[in-house]
Amino acid sequence: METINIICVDDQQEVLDSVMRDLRPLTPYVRLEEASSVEDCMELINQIDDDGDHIAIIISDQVMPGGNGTDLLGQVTSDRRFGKTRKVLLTGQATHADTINAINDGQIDNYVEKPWQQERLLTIVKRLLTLYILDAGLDHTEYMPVLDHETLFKKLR
Amino acid sequence: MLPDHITEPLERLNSIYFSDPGRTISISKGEMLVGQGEECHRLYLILEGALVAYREAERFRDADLPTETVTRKHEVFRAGPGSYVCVQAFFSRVYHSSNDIVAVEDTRLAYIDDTTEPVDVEHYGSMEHQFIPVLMHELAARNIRMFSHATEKEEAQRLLQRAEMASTLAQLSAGIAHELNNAVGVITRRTEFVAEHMADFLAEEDKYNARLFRYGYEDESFIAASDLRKRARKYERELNMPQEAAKVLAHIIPDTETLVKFGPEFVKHVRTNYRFWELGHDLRDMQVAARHATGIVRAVKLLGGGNSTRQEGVDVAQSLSDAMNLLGNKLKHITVHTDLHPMPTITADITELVQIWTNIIKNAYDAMEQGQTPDPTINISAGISHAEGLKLLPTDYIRVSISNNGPAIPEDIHEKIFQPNFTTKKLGLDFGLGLGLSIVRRVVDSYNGTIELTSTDGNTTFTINIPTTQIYGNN
Repeated sequence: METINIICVDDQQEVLDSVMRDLRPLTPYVRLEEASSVEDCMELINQIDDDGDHIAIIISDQVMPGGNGTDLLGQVTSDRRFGKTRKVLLTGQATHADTINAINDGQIDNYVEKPWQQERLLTIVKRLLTLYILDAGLDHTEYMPVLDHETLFKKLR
Repeated sequence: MLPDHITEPLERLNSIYFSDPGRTISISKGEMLVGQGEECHRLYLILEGALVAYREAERFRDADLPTETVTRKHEVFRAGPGSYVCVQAFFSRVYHSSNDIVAVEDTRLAYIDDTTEPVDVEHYGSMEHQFIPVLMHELAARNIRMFSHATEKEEAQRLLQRAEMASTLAQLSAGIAHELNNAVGVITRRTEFVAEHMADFLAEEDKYNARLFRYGYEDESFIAASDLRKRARKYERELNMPQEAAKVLAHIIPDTETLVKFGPEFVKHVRTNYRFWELGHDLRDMQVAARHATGIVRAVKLLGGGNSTRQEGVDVAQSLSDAMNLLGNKLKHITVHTDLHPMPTITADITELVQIWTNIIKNAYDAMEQGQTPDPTINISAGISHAEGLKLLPTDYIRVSISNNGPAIPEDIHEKIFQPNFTTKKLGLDFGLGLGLSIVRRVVDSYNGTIELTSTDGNTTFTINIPTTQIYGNN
């Protein structure tokens, strides 16, 4: 089974901890990684890519010192190595302009407002994970418990 | 300023009509030149001194008011040398003054009256014609006066509106603060309670679990996420641990040496029971978050202003030591030097002063921690300073300097750091709303004080000057 990573980026450790905890039900099947800034995240995804592992989803905060989430997701979008990576903006502070940029330049797949609910976050992440696994041509049967069956059904029909 | 084409012809008129020493009068400060409604057949030119004109408002004059009511008089204008007075009465031939005209200093005036004959009629025309420049002068002056009145009124209205908003915010925030503090108080207290009982309970059951729980609850390590991740990855590979357990171990154990000290038994326990650490850490985070909420409530309350109670006899040195006591825990790993000189007591709200010092000291602490400054040191000095040569400003100031040896504040953000919502902090839940220094500025402003900031690498100093005597009625 290939190693699939989901990365959460936030400058607040407490927020990272909470997201990690909420996504823990996925852990036997995916690896959860965290980064505290845009720079830190870039270092992390380069390392994961060097190891030849997958980055399925990046969930990023918007307002962080040293570069915001939109910048990060924009960078990831324009990087060919991560063309299939799905992107989520998780924030309570994005302005109208930030949101427009996130959609146009960051090409985000979803926008989640803080405070979030675990169930909703899990649903979104499962759906995006399913899309990634199908896009990447991985054997979806290995990941069945953490996939969104409705999405799977629609795509495979 | 009036344009030249108006002032030049005036010079001729002044030298011809207003240079007869027999037609000058002097009045001393406070004396009235002419009263509202009184007869006045003269046109005056102010040679030196200054006059002020008052008028009783029409609505008060005609209203049926009890006699003892103090009639309100409104200032119409002030005039100095070169200005003409009683222009309207003279040229309209009404010959009655529309204002009380009173000397604000000893004043000398030259005048003509309704018997004055025009000079050089052939060349310059009739009296009225010759005096057109004076009328123009008067018109221009009135125009300027009206404009400045209009802008003043607008400004006053804007300030009033802002004051109203601020007071509404203050009332609202006081109410919200009370409710929130109660709610947050329950969370803080009960979290502590749960943690204590949990610790006792675990201590009876399993000492390793109790230890893990305590480490999580008392965790104070500030490790950058990237370092923590590297450490966790190392443990995950070398000790063949699950990711979550490795992360917990990375929190507790910084290096291999410490790992050896803790021993294999402990590591084995973490592998399976890391959740006890997480449980403790969750309770810790809840407390940190609750404290943070309390801090925000206090900040909002202070930003709203309003309930400051200033008293005489406040000791600035006391407020500084209060601030340091409040920050006690944070200052544990920092060298603090204080150099306090004798200072007079001032009229102030001591909690406001404490708020100024704690914000600046806490910022210094955070900057040094974030910059990983070696031998972090804070110097606090306080004393009295004198400012000379500024007539209208107070001369004696309490001067408090707070410096640290952390990284420099870049020049281009020196102004920005005092704005609300500006922050450079990034560690932990104490990330701040960027309100700290904006509160400092607000409070210092309210004492008519000043803040100076100098910053180079290894020496950042905030200096606060607060006048020892407060000037009232100027806000």
